[in-house]
Amino acid sequence: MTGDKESAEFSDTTSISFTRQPLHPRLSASQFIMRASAVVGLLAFSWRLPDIWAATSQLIVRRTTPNLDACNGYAASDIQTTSTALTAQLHFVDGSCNVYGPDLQTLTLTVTYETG
Amino acid sequence: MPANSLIDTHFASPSLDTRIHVQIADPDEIRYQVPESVFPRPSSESPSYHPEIEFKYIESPFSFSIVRKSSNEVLFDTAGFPIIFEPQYLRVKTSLPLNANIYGLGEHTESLRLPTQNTTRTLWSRDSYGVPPGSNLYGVHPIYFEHRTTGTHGVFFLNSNGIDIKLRNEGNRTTLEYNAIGGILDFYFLAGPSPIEVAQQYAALAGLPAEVPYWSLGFHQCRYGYQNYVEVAQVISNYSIAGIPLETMWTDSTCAI
Repeated sequence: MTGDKESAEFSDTTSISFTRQPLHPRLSASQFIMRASAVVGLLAFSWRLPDIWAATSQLIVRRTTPNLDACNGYAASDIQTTSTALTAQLHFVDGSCNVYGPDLQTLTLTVTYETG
Repeated sequence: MPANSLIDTHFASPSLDTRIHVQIADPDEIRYQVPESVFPRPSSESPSYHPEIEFKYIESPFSFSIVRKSSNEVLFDTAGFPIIFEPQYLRVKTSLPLNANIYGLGEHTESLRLPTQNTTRTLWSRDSYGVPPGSNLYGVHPIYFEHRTTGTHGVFFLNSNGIDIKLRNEGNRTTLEYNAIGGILDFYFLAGPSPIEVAQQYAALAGLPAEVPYWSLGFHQCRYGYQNYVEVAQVISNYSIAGIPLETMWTDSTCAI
């Protein structure tokens, strides 16, 4: 697990001793490059920041939190049962759900009683 | 006590249906499901009907519940919370007793018993630097145990997509809501009724832990941040000098153990 904080002095019986600096936060090479390039990018375009803000503020639309409980869900049909299993079709009940995309119109329900 | 009394205790009763598998999927099954090669499913449809827990449903609007047969106690119930199944959003929500005792949904740095108010358990593997409280960690185990004075049961959600599980106190009940960004709805309900039996039933489903290699049982030294091989060799030689048998030397984080 990371999060180790190391600054302990190390000495051994062969009389070599030295002190290490702590290594945190630990940045991988790719993280370092990403951060460095972000800084360079910001510097390069800083004179245009007001323009960029103006442009993006029109693109970002605040999303209202969808009311999931207003969705109508599904209705079961074609229910087939045995003593230890059940299958059914679930059909989407029309309504304005579509909270994070279009609802699947048909689903298959399968229930099985199993021995552990 | 006769020598065979323990065996009698364990094997005298007929095998009960201690597990219910509830799957809701796209009819053509083209959506992602955890492959059999990764998670082999036990093929154990019950030969006859001896349920410890039962599946009940309402046709329209569709909802289902899981009920403990011996007490008629409702363990899981989606009534009032419509199931949502969209390409990148799946939602199942159940009512639970107020301040339900929910354990699991690891790995995380929440308390062992999960808080039921305003808790979101994110199942998404990460190296959480500094290991702050309330964080998701390396492993993902989408199973919870719920303890009640009347028994313990388990609920396993077989889905390897990113998942948020929200625990909330709402009025006179607690709710638990799964939000997944892919896959299908694939639940296994484990009857218990003791915590040990839930663990055994989960092992029967998910598999036993892998056998560890013999050398892993020895003494390990582990740290990250060694500067060079000389430093590593120095540590190893100091073990020899001190007469401590060192089986394994790790040169990275303690997570390897």
